Amino acid sequence: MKIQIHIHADNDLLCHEALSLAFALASFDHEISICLGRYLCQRMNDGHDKFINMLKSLPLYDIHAVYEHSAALTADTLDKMNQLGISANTADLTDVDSVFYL
Amino acid sequence: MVIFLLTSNPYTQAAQSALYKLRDHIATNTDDVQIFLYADAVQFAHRGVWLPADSANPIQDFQQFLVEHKLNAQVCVSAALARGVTDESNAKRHALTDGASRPLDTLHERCQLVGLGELAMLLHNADKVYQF
Repeated sequence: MKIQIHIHADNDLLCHEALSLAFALASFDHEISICLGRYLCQRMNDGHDKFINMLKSLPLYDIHAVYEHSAALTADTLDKMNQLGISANTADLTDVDSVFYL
Repeated sequence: MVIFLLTSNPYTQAAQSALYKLRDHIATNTDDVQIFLYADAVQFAHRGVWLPADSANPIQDFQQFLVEHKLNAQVCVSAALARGVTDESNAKRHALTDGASRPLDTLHERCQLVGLGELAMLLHNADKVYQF
């Protein structure tokens, strides 16, 4: 199944669970893409090692990641996203079987 | 097979919509329904929740719904343990005890703790997925 997961959670536990779901589904041959919301992007910029390491692992699972563009994101955050190879959201929701919002 | 993936906190509008949709679906369809609780929605599986009688109790409503329709809900074990929802075997494994050193058991009898792999397998066979 082709699934896009939007991570709009506003706390660390829910963000971690959303990323864990992406990894678990990808491990079972689902085609997963994720869209990072503002909170998770900001936590990345804070230097949250666990999230950074999880996002660095995305290519190993063939998970494509983008971030939800927001005027609230600082230049530092955008720079961090670029370093991780994560670009602004241009995903086509019509091209997936299901969209999960977490 | 139709999957209901519940992720919202039970006290939100989204969770209330999930219950409405579940009731409606069961009333008008005969297909196989699978319910999976993840993230904040694992609180639906907690059998130790009390609210004043004049308050809506979506957790009790959900559990009554499972009993009435003889349905089971699968619950992500790690999300559940993070929120105090556990069965006896997981409580023993993680040393979660009550004041008298007995293992906790807060999981409703129509719910089972499983890994995310179970959801992944269900999704492979799903005709439709609703997420709330």
